[in-house]
Amino acid sequence: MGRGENLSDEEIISDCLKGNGHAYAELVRRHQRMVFNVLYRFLGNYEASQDISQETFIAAYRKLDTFNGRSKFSTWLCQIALNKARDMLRGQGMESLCDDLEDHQAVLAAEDRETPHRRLEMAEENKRVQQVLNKMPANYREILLLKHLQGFSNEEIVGLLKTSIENIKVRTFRARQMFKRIYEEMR
Amino acid sequence: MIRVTEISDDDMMRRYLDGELDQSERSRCMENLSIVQKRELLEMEKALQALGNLPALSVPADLASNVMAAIMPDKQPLSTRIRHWLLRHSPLLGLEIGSVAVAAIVLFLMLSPGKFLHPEAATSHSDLQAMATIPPANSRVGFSLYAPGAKSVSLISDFNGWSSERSVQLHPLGHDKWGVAVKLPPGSYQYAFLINGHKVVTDPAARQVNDDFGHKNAIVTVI
Repeated sequence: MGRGENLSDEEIISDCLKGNGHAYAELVRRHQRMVFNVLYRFLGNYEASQDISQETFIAAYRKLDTFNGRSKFSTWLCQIALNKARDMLRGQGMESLCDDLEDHQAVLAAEDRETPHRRLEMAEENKRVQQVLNKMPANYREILLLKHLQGFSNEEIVGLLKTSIENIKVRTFRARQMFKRIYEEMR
Repeated sequence: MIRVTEISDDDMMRRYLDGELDQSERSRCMENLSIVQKRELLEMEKALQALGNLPALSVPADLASNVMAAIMPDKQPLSTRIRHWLLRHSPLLGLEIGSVAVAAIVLFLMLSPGKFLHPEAATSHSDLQAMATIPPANSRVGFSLYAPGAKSVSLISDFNGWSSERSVQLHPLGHDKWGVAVKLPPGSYQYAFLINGHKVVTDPAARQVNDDFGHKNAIVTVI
């Protein structure tokens, strides 16, 4: 059990800022799952998601003194992660980095407690959803992920994407319409 | 042009999908919608449920350790720092110390009853093993140096145990410039160049860190 396990994110950040860089490991442990999953669903590429997850935590550590505590630390991390992912896509002139989903069946597979038949169905469904996401523009994809996968509120998304609530509502509406259309086309 | 009633319905449907309505409001919302709208809303809800049901993927096993290696490069164990120093300076001392010999020296210094060094930092088995193992390839990293008059330039680093025997040779690129690309797994690596097999030079173009023995090593982080 780590020493920082009972501390809040803010207490650990304060520890890090006092020079105890090792304390940061607990923050990485707590939030790596969220960061990696948002990135994987956003980029659709396992290796790139791993690289950008690492870059996100490294960048967050280096500018930890700028974290003002107005949002949750997880929201701040998510913002850094998505900024980096968007930069990567822009740099490569792409909307997503789909990799071969078959390569990652192990990580995409449904949970073990289901029957083999159901597991297969769920794995197919998960694969289809990821393919739908990969076909969508990045600015629609990110809003769906933040809202429906991570459960962020409109207010949190406003802070995270630095835009207005009206913009979020319009973008969400359009993103949902597009998601539904592609999802149904792929059935 | 969107009519006011459509805006209202859209807003109601948005609030339905956002989970902002309680059960009675959801029922009322359904009652007020046309059959087409109702079908669309239910289909949308089903599609979004599929998105919300995506499983959380396992995190790559080395993600956290790679992050910590990148942000805490100066906090290597004492045994590792001694090893770097011995291997880095052995060419200067006219010695060709192999990995096993260095491991023995490190062990001697660490475990010596005379306590040459602080006894808390014991050399681990994995630490010694790591010296003899070049990690699996991953990202391609370029190293280059401007070295007028050099007959040979090689790279000594964490990833080859600071061994001049296992150093990576740089290739002449013309105009006194030398370079090589090395595939490395994620992590932070301290390194230096070895000119003509004996002169250790720190990369002037890279970030540098103290090696705790009065010298500086260049450092590269692969992410």
